[in-house]
Amino acid sequence: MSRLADMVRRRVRTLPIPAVVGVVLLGFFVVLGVVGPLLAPDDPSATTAAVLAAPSWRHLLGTTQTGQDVLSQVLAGGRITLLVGAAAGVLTTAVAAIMGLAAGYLPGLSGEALSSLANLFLVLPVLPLVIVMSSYLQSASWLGVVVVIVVVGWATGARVVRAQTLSLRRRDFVTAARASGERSVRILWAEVLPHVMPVLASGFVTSMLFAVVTQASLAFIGLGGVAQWSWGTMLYWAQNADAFSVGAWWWIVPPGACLALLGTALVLVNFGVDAVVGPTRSGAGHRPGAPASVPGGVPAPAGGAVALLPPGLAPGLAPDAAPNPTGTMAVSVARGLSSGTALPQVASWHRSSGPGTGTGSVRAPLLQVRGLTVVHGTVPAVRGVDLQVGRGEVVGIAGETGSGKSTLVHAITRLLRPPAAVAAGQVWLHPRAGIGDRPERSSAAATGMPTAAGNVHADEPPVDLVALDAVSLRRLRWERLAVVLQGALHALNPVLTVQAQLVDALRAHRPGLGRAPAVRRAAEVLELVGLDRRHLRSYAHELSGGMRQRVLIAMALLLSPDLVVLDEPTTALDTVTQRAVVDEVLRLHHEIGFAVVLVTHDLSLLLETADTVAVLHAGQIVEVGPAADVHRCPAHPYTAALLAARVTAAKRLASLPVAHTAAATDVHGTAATPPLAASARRHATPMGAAAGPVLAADGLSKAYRQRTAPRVAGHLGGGGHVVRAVDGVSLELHAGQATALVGASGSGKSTVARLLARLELPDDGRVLVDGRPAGRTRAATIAYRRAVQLVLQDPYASLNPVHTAGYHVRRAVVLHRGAWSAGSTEVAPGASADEIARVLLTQVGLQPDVVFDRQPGALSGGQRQRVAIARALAARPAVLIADEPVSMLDVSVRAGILAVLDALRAEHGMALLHITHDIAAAWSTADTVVVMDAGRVVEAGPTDRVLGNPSHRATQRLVNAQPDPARRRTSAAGTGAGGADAEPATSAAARAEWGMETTTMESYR
Amino acid sequence: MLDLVLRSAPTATARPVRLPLGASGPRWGGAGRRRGGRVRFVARRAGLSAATLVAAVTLDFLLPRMMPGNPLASELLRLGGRASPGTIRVLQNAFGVHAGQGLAGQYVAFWAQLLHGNLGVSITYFPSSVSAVIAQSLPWSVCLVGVATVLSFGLGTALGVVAAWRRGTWFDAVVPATGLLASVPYFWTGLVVLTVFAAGLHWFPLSGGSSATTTVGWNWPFVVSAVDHAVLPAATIVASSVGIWLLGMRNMMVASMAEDHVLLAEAKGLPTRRVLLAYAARTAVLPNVASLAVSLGFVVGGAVLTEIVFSYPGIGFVLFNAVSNDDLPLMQGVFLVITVAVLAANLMADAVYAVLDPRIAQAS
Repeated sequence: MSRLADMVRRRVRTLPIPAVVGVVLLGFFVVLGVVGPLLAPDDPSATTAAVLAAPSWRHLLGTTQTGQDVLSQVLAGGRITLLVGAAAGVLTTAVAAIMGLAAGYLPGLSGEALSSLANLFLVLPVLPLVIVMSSYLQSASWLGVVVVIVVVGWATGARVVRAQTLSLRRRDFVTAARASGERSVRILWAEVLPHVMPVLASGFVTSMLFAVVTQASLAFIGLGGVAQWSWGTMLYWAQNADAFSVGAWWWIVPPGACLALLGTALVLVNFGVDAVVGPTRSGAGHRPGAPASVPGGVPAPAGGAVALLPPGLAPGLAPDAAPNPTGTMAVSVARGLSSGTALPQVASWHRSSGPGTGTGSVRAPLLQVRGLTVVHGTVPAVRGVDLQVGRGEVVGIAGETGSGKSTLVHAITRLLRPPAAVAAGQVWLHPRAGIGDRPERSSAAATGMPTAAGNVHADEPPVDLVALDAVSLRRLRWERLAVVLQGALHALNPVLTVQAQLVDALRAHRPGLGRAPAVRRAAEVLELVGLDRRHLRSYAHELSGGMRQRVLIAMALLLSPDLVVLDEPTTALDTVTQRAVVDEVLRLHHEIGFAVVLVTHDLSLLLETADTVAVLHAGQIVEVGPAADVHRCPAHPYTAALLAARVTAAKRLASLPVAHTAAATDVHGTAATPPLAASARRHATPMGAAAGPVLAADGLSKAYRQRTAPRVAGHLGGGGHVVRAVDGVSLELHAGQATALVGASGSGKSTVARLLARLELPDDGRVLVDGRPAGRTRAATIAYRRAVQLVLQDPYASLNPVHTAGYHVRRAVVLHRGAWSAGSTEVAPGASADEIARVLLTQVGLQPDVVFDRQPGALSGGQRQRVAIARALAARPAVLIADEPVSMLDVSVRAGILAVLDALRAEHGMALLHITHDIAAAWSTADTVVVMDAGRVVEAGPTDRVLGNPSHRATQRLVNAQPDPARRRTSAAGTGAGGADAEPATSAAARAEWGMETTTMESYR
Repeated sequence: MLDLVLRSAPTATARPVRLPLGASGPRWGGAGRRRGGRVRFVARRAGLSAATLVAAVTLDFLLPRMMPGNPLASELLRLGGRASPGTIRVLQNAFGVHAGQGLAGQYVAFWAQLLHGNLGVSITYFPSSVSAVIAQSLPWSVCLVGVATVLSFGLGTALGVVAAWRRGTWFDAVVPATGLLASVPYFWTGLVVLTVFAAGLHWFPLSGGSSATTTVGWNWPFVVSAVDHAVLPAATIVASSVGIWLLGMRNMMVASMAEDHVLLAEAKGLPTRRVLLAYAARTAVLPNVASLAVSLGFVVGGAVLTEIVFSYPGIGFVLFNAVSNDDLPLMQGVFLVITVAVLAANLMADAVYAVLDPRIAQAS
């Protein structure tokens, strides 16, 4: 909490000026409320003969109809107003917080009932209600007014708090806290409430404003006691005396001005409240693929020597170093090897043959990026990038989080938003080729579409997109240069149909095109990407992730552009869908002949699919070359490290001793000490299968109402409102063994994880711990959580951004203190929770001194996942369930995390269940594999047998969805330059199946 | 109008939140099933509104019965000898002191009277019935506040779009300015406006809804006079509420302009106007539209304070008179009418929302 205070203090210092004005004004009124009545020169109620006197030295603000001193009344009247405002503000906020939290967090009926109550109060007309109620409180003191205000005012805030709580309840860090064993009250207090605080703070100010205005209004219409002096009461008497018609402005203006100023102060303070306690960007952290946000100046903990270690080979701090957009670590790699100034030297890493030579033919240039530098404010995000795209070429740009790849895409497509801006460089787009030069167009494109291309000729000079004026740019967009943005969920307009979004692009560029032909063309492109034309009428939310991505690709093809830029087109998709989408793009590329710029973090994918691969690191292109060359002999150490870091089916982690050694070096400073050797083995005797499973699922089934199972739409064909997400799943986990549970999205594997972690209870079937069924009492749940712990997929979401890394681990230690009491040799007897937490952090390869007091926002993705693993370890579980533990992380840190899990399993003798859609990861880590499809287990057995020789179609599909550079020549149409025979027969068969199925893709999702 | 201002207080974090109460609907299917989802959503909300209405009527029934002392006696005293036996019975019903009837029986009788449109007799406007008083004052409020609300919504929303689009220019200064305007108590704004434009400059009349020399109806002198009388109160309402709409729209618009689908619309080369209106504003305006529907419900309640300041013969003024005169039957009636209107408007907001936002049908 002191961190929070620090943050607040820091932000208060940078408060916007209006807010400062507001605070000062409010302070003035508070002082006025306290001392005002004492300063009044006269008794505010005392009448004099000077009736309705204009301001004079005797009466600075004049007098009323009965000769009372206006100034004295103003001075005396502030107290009641402020008292009512403050009291009602505090009470309303408190009631709103309690009711809102309860309504949002309580399950089932009680939550519903509370929210219905709030809704009832919301539709009651506030002011009439206040008036009617006040009339019952005839002799009401200010306290009565406060009560009335609270009664009518709480619902508004409660509703907002409830909405916030509802969304928080679904956040991963709440799930993680539950899985860790926290009680509901504690979760509400420590996990949820800090996130509701901004709403409450702003709600308090709003309630106070409401109370002040309401009190004044009531007093003004003569309710709530006209005998007590307040500004509203003054206006009541003024109104009754027709002060305005006799021109006694001095009677009306001062009290009103005070009310207005007080209201203004509160509004201004509210702006300030947002600035101080509002949500932070650094708190949310950044995800792979998103533009890097800057975790304010956190120095990379690794020293220079460590920084030179190839990322990914050391599961310690070096590769996970806090992402740093200025690229200190990256620069040390680049500079260490290219000695000195970055820009010119980078060019030396480019292959002499240059881009476009990948297929052996010299391609005419289509897009040339020259010395492009983009800055985010003052921080450079892309630095001196040179890149060339030939006509019909596939250029891949590989880069990890923070490498600037999205910024590069936005710069090329002129979509940068402030504060990002191009600082230097050009993006030349060469004119459209003559009709003869153009690769054959698709038949679809030639269906009588009027083209606007008549004004473009081959002999025109190239245009610089960076400098192009708005009108020419708009004409050129989509016509020549289309883009597929990452995050298909948000790239489609949620309230327009697919058709509307396709047609408007057509009609913007072909004003003469009628509606019917436009719709026809829209249907054509949809079918081109393998979607049924009935989806023209669909909205984005009705489509699955893969289908949305296809719609976006279809949209890009509408006008048959020369170049399609794809920004992480597959990041949000599971491997099977990824594969399908990429295949689709390549097929269309071959059919239609547009050039492709494919930007992704997935180097393997590029090696398989692209002609030319460029590796982007810290805003610079460190290597460019034909994909095959880059794969065979990477010229830049960073590329080599990336290639080495890929978790591929070919190498088992066991055969990667480097990883372990590197971890040891990193954590302990000496390679002689393995990181976990010192720790005692909890399960002294390695248990074989004969010892019986530590955790067994027996016929687990779980069904959901249809609307809660968005991804499994494929199973709805049979009708009915219930989806069986998990259907009779049985599996066994043995101590010391790693089991991989694999399956595509919607196969039910995550539901199995939730059932095994007891986040949900099965409809049918049992979970057995050490052969005994788990009970349902609180004590049984705690005992269960001690035995079975869960690591969630997304470390950017599973840690509460307001708590430190140390807090997360220490809380789990406190909860499971019993696990540490006896017989532990890892920590000294009677060690504090803090000390144990530090030991745990060390065990996962972190430096406690560095990370303990850091909030997740200041940690990299890999570091966060290590913290999450340490938290799970705090219970000293017999079973660790890891639900896609690396899928959200950069490729270079994945191997490190998997190595940590593997080492912990071996050292602690835990059973590890690794849930993944990544066959390579499963292959590299697991002893046994369980394959799920459509809620059922379809195949299980030893890893090598199941994955090496898959017998079920679902397994084959998963195996074949893996990117495989060795396969590239066969998938690139026509140019069959070897590689095909290297493939196992099964995958060739499966790919044939793919070819068949591309037209009916929806059946998969 | 106070309610309007305070309900959507100008904060950046507390954006209007509409929470559909768990509408169920199929995720898949053609337009037919989708429409089904929307209908189900609205039907569910209608059920909720009905429940709320029953609760409100019950509250209305109970309030007088919870009053301390003997309100009936004071009401009868106030009427003096004018009360007929029928009136006394009505009052006895209202206060629940009718002999020989338990609370349940009274409740049933209360409903029966309501369903017959019988809201009792007003004491302030004796011997007019409550329904007659309401029927007479309602059109004034609906016209004045309704027109002002729609004007304010249109102006504020349009300015909000501009404010978001022109972010970083001088236009930014407009935003806090309108916000400050909204924080000024507008009964005071009304008083100042009256002092300047009516009492001082004599541009507009001081009070009332129309000139006493005209007869109410569709005749030219009356319409001119009514408009003349409505300008100041309407301007007061618009001035103090336009900032709320502006701020809401601007915040939503700024958020929506940063969304990918807007970026993509720009990348598609659509004209700026279409990007701005069909993409950015189209999604951003949804909360404002919902708020408008709700605000229109509050129109029926009139703008109590504005009507009091301008002595405007609307329903807010009637309520004020009822309260000052302890006219319980009238208070009950007005309160009920307002509640019904607000509920109806809420339902309308839901229906409009279901039409405008296809996602609602499957929200959970």
